Amino acid sequence: MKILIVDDSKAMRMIVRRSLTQAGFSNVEAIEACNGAEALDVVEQQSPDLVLSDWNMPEMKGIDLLKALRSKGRKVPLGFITSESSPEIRDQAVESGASFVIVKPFTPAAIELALRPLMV
Amino acid sequence: MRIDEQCLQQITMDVCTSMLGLELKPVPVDRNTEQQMVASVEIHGERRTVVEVFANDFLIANIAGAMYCSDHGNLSESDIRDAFCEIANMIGGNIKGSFGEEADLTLPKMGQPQDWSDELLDDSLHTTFECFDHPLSIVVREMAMQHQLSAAVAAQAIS
Repeated sequence: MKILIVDDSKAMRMIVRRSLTQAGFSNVEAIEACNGAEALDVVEQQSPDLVLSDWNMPEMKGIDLLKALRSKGRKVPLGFITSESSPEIRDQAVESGASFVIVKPFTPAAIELALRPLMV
Repeated sequence: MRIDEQCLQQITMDVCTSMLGLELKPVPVDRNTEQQMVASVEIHGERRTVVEVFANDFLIANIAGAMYCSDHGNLSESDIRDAFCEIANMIGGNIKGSFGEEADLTLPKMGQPQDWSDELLDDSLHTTFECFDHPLSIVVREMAMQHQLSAAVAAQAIS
């Protein structure tokens, strides 16, 4: 399974990668992008099976990435991993078609809980 | 102030201890910003809230080491700045969530403490932890938004 991790923070991309391993997803190929615009290109070129995206990023926010993917007909599941924990962010994410929202700080258990249903 | 010190401490502990495994111990507030750097984010809603995280170079490097699971000697200056900014981002994002109002969170930035002015200080909250035997301080300041200030200045001029 190929997972695209989108975050403008290199440290956070590293933590998400590590958490995937700690959550037991050892057969995952993790690829990265540092903003929504770059992620759009990576999705086109590498067709990941899942996108894990931050919300607040320069160039293109995570929610705009999700909308852009859907407008292009790309149905790849996308979940947010974000420090934005307010209900309106969660509502906006779900209404736009996000599979889940994980709030930073998170644990590998939270990653497993959110991703496991998508792995079947 | 819309959050209290206990809430701020809990958010900081959740970010640093639960997620990164850092040991934090609350200590008396440290107001000495000499030789410290600051990472900050702003929350723009009904009010403008500035969230600042202060630490010295040693502590910032060690926090980055914990985030990357790497000896900080192997990390670049850019990696270390990125890690420290992400701490401010996570703390700020959770503070924003605790406000329960629609607001925007800015991208984090980092600089010297003197880069930050004490303009229009209305209300503030300050807490300090000891981490790797060095102070880690978090300051939350609430300020009026620019349009509120303009209205206040106009009202003052009229009176």
